[in-house]
Amino acid sequence: MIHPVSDIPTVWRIIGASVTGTSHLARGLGCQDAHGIRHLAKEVTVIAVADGAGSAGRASEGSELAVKSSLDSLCASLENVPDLPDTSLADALRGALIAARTSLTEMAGAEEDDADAGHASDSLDQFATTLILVVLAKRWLGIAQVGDGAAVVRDAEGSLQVLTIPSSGEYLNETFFLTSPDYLQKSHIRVWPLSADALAVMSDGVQVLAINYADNTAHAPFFEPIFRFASNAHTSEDELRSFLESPKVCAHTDDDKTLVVAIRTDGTVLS
Amino acid sequence: MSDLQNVEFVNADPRCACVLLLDTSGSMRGAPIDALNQGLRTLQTELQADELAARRVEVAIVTFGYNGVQVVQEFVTAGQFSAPTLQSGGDTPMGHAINVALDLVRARKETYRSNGVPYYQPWVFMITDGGPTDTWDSAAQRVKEEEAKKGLAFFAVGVAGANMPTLSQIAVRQPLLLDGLRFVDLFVWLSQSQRRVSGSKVGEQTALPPAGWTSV
Repeated sequence: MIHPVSDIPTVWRIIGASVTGTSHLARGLGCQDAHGIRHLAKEVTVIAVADGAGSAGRASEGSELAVKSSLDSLCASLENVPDLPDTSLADALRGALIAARTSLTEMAGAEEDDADAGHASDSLDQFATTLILVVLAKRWLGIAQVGDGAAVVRDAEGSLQVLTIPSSGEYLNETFFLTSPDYLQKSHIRVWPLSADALAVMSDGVQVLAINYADNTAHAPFFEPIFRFASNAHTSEDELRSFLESPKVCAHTDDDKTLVVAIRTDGTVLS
Repeated sequence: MSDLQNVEFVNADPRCACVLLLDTSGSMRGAPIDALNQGLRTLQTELQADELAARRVEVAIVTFGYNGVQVVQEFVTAGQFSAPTLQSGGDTPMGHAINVALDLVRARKETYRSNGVPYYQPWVFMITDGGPTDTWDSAAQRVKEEEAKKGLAFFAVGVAGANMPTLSQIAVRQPLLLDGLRFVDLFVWLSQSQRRVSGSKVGEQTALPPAGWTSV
């Protein structure tokens, strides 16, 4: 989990948590979800959420590395570009996906180079992970998505919009990974004019609680209390973490859970 | 009171459908059918001990042998599953039974889709101590087609005396031989496998190593 160490005043209050799912605890697996949040400027914030594949031997390293390298790439692309046009934002997101994938192939390749030194060589698949990136920029909101998970915003009218595209697979646990050969073709990159005052990004362990799979809509009784909670400056990430680890949540999902919530604090909702 | 206590969840448990396709032919009489029945009771207990599995796993049972081919249990949520006591007799209309099982899976998926219920890849789990006494070519063909398009995962388990070469022609996945009559261990493994489904991705959800109940 990467947190901004920064004095940049920001218009977004963001809290996030990744917790190990009960099925992973039962199997002695650590948490394979990862997330990161960075503030680049007063009105520019980037978020990454990654979910490592259960069967991948080094999934937690894959998700952590994907988060770090994608955020590094976004920071490099977006820093000092105050009024980014939407096309540049889409390019920056695409570059971030490529950077994330490259970091995994380099890791896998380095392992193979070490094979002589007695280290086991790991193929790229060992680091399989999904990745969702969100950029909140001054006038734009951009999303890049490889695999499952979801992002939801509350728009100017107070309605909830699901920004991510559901998996096209037949099964709930069917998805693509950053390590899939055709990951770019299967990725979705979209940019909209920013008109949200609240945003939630989640891995599929939370998606199953909060999104109606039948029509890819957001379940308001989930998000409204979550947004109220995050709007309260006195609430903490520890509380969010406890909530995700609570028996109430674990009774409905045993997967790893990541939830990042962002609330606009300056009272501005752009049209 | 924290706002988090007011959070409510979507009311749709994703489903994992599992058809048990069980040989109840005459050769299962005595210790084998008793052990199989004990195994089914164990499956019920294991699934119902897990809150999530009790809501997500759906069990159907098709038998072949006693009374020909019977749907002893239509799909029921594991929480409501009550293990039947099976009897033995008759020959082994396995081909017909496989077709019935595949039809059940297809119909269940349509029900899920028309109700907007998300679901995992269904399983068909066949246990036999012999080989088919009816024609089975079309059944085997359907199994191959379904596996090829990843429509379901079909497992075959042979009890001592089973015609393993024929099972290898029916199931795409290598059939496994049960160690003695260790049905209880087999069903414990099955329930644990089903409980793990949600944390795994398709393609790996069924690559679970069988342990403790196969004879090597």
